Amino acid sequence: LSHSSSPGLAHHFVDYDQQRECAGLGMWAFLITEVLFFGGLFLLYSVYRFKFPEAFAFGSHHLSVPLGAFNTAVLIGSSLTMALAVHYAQLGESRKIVQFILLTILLGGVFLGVKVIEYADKFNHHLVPGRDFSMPGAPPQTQVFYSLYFCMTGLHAIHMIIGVGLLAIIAYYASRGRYTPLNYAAVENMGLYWHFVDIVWIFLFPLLYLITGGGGH
Amino acid sequence: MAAHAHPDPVSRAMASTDHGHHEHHGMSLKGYVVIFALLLVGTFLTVAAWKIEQSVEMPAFLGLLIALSIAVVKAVLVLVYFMHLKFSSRLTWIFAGIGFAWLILLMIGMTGNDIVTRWWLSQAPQGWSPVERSAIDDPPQARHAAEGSHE
Repeated sequence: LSHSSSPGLAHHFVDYDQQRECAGLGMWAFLITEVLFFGGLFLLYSVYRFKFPEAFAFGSHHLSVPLGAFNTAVLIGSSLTMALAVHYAQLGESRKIVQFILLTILLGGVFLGVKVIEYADKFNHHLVPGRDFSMPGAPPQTQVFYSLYFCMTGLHAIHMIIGVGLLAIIAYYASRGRYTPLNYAAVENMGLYWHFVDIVWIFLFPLLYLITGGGGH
Repeated sequence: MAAHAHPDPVSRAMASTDHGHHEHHGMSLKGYVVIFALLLVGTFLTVAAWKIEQSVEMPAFLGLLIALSIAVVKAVLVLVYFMHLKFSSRLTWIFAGIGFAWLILLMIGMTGNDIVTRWWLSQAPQGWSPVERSAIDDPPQARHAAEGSHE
């Protein structure tokens, strides 16, 4: 088989379909490790919520549900623009790929911006676990809730920041016309990563922002 | 020809989605927008359920169950349509499933079980000797320290 006429096809693959599926499987294997990475935090969360339900409800009441719901919608929107970028990569329309990836970056930026506002509010109200933590009337274990809040949303935000950086690289290559209907695995794998980060937030939002009972505020 | 293109079973398995060359592995634009709308509806329902729970007397776990059920449906929509599992090979389905299988096995099946059953033991005083119970309630090191301070 001669590959001189097959740009972007590595010599050890039979064809583009095999190459793309192989790249996809590699990405899924990486996502398995990510599921376990976040899974540990979700387990920790479950144990402590089960142990200190009142403290979790008390701490949750200070989180802004409108901001959390807004961010959920923004992230779902960014998943749509990402899916459309992959869609146009399959059709080989480089301009559209760039446009939708830039939109995805913009929505990711909005999400992170809202997160900055929320974090700043926690710092201003002494809700960051540690010596300066102070919340009148709160059970002492409320700090456990806020520790998990910062760990889980922080790890998620780090994934978003890395994702935005990777999106910028993909947008650059797309603008150079690197992706074709036969060779677009990088865009597709970028999509898998971005959607995975979206799924993590789909669970984080109700678990952190929408805790009922206990405190009864 | 086909045998020549995929000489070994692994290559054949990996090329199992190979139905013609320029196969489109995805949906129409409208399809993506419909999934997006469903995800927004799910988010709205989650918040609406939370609002209702504030004024209705109901056990706390029910609210958690509702919120998590909606989240699972949303996650499945993202996995199947946005992440293209619907258009992927069986091998990709297995890879996607393994992540969740391991999550359940390690997190819930093993570590979670360990933690929950410890709690059960501490809640079940009948039929357990004081020594057995104290081994759970306060570990030997803690007991040594407590006895030391008494003397």
